[in-house]
Amino acid sequence: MSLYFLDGVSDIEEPVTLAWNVLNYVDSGSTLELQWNVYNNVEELLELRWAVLEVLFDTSVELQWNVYNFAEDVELQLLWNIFEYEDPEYHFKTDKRIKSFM
Amino acid sequence: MSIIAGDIKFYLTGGADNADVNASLGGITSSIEITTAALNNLFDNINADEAIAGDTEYRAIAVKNTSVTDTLYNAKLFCEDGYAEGSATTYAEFALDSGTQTIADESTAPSNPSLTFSTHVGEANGLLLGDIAAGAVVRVWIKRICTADTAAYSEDKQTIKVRGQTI
Repeated sequence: MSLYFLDGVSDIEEPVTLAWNVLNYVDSGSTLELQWNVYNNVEELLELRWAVLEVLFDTSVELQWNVYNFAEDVELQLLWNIFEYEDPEYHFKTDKRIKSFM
Repeated sequence: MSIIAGDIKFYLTGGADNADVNASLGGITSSIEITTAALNNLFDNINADEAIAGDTEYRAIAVKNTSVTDTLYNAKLFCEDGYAEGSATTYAEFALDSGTQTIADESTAPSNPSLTFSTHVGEANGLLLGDIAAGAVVRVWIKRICTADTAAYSEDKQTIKVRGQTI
């Protein structure tokens, strides 16, 4: 089967189209519908794009796909304090004294 | 519609209403959300004895997609900095849990199943959470490591990011 772009494709400006997965392939009589998802890496949210293709025997087909983009990052900052003895040696000496006394 | 930042939330674990961060050790997801950038919002302080000897503690959190309609696709959890953030001798590692196991205390590693922890610094090395459907929750364990002979540090920190794709 051969496919030809008729319109809606030449103006696609996505700089990076990494891959697509064919999710569905439905041949319903004279109408062939292909759908797939396109993942990209651009920061701006792109609109949903579509194109009309022509297959052999002049059968029109409308292609649709979803354009995904990154959702806003979500951050969680964890905080805690770290303590230390002002004089670790003094601390250990104190411990020894306590133990001796006991 | 698309996923917005407010849709993704972090919750304590340890019971439906658990608000004690020191009890966020797995089990049922709490309704209490973790407040970002608040002191002791998940881990307690590292006392002087722990700083001298070194200390490893665990917490379980839940990452929830609170959207009622949209899935967060291909979500990853990562941190931008490991040692570089806050104290130079503390860092965190992360692991995804398929279940809701509970650990006996904060010093006990999750073992049912046993998990592999890693620092996951940078998105490229992020912990893959997968697709998080609307209303779904994923369970993440955080292992905080303080190496021996760590110096005092006020408001030591670790920032976690979740990044995913939306449609």
